[in-house]
Amino acid sequence: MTNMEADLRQLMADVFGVEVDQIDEDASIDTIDSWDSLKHLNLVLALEERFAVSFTEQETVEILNYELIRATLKDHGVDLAA
Amino acid sequence: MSRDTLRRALARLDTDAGYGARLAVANGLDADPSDDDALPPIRLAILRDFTVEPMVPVLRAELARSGFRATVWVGDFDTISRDAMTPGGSLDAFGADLILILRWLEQTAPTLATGFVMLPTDQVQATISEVAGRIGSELAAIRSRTQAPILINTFPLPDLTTLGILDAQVEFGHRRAVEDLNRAILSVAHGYSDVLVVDVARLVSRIGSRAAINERDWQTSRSPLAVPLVLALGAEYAKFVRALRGRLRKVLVLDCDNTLWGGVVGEDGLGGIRLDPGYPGSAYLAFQREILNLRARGVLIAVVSKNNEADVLEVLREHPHMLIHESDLAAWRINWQDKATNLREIAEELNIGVDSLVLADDSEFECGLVREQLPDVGVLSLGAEPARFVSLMTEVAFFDSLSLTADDRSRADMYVADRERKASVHATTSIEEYLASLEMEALIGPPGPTEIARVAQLTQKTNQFNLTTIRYTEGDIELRAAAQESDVHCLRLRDRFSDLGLVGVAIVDYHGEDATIDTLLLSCRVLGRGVEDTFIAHVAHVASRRGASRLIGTYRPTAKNEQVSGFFQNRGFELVGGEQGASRWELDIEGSQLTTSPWIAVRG
Repeated sequence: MTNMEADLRQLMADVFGVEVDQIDEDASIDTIDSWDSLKHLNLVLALEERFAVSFTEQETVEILNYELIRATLKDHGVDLAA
Repeated sequence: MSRDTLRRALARLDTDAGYGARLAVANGLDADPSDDDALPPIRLAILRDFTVEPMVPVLRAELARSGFRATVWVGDFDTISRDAMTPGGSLDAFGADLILILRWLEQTAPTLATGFVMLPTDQVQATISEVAGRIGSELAAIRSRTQAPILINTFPLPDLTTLGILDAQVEFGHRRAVEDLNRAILSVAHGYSDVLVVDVARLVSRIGSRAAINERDWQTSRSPLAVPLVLALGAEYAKFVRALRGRLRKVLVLDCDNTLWGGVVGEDGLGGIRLDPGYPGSAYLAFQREILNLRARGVLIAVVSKNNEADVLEVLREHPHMLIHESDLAAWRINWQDKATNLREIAEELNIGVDSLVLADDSEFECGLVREQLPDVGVLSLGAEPARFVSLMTEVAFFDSLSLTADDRSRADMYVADRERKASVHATTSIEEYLASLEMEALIGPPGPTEIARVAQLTQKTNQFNLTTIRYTEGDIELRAAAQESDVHCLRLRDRFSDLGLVGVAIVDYHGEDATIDTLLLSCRVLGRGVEDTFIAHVAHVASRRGASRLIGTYRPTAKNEQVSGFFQNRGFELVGGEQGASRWELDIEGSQLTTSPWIAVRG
């Protein structure tokens, strides 16, 4: 796992109040109980700050799982695998 | 394991100003729910008409950093009036120590926010009155059920308005209307005890509304606070909690080289340091000016520097551009000892705890060392850009308080007089002779209307000579002073050198034959003068005049009031019990031997 990917997992764990090992590639709004619409707001703000990006209105409502977050960050030029 | 997570997360806040770092602290608090880790709990209720949830973890993190474990209850969306006006409802059930009401203009007064040009002028005025009236009714309803302090907010001024460049030309523009509303909110707040205003308009203007307001999340989730405002607002509420809970810093301790002036005096010499009106001297002078402003609002100024004392004193005394002089300093340590030792010595000299100190230093090394060795000292790491010093110091707001009394304004001068007083001790032979030479005069009586703020402030700030350490707000003090069955005694002291102001408070409750001392405290600036004997004798005398035969006192130990643990015993009180670490003492007033200090003349 790259440092950036570890950062993303830690950040998601902090947002949702779960242990970091619960954040895997399958993590989504359906697998994490505390991932509700309000926590999602916090997640969007935290992601934008950490990766210095600004999501579009459409993206903010779409990034509801780990894979989509990773792909959307990549669209903004942030490659977690790099 | 989880304890370490929290500690690490908190340490990260020293160097990371971001949102993620605060989320980590909030998460650490949840992962470590134990309450035995010396973080006193505080319960905050939030009533709101917009989505405040992104701010809650920031608020909890900033409070944890200030030493509190916050439990936060957030009311339903847009139900402020219902929550405020329902006796026995969720707000009452929660039992808040502090109530935050957060409003956003688009929700509270949508016509004023987004339909301004369509409103006739008289409708604008009517809307302002209606909103102010609504806020007033909510405050009245809450105040009828709890004395918890209530924080309300101002609204950001509109900076994008339909009128555009015309807005500033007309008498009743959009911006002006919101300014009027904000002013009306201030007036409403002043009508209630312990209702305080959080100036969100000021925070947004500091950040800039483009960066502070999140248009996207406002539309998707009614969540208007962008990250910079979320951070600023969470920190702002923490400042209020610190001030209300008496977590106030009192002394600004300054490094010298590259902090008060550019360069190193030991190498560059008096003429070589940068302190002239051109850059970079101008930046150091601006910093010195702001330090003197803090001094004028009651902050004591001290210096610690690794230098030869003579070199630094020469700058203080001789440098033509220097604004801070020897006579502005309450204390200094200019030597080659480490800064932690010097800070401890300064705290001791000024008779205060090290947690009242703030160190401002340009060296990250020195700052880190002090954080490590004296974690209770506030540390302001200035860095290498002197032009930023003033805003760095003002933003951390170590010295924010909720009152500015006449005592505050003259405090720094009084400490300087104290330093001179101590220098004159050497000229007299015995301590009694010295005390007599001070020609002290005490005036004891109830608080006047202008003294209520000072009395409340003393209960909030006094830690060492404080038998019970009960914190009171101004509203509390007014109630106690007006109550038939209580006395609030205030002791004002003056001597040959200065008027020391209101320095002692005793609150006594009467019940039948018993006079119970609820509060007895003295400001640390008058310790060691025998004032306490004069004060307790007066308290006993008044109690006896009011028909009491027994004087009852309680000593409640804290981390800081060890020096008064023997207070009652030494004055002939008998130990009669106690609970939860506190001890309870009784004195038969008639047969007691309370002696006043002969060197203090008492009036009043």
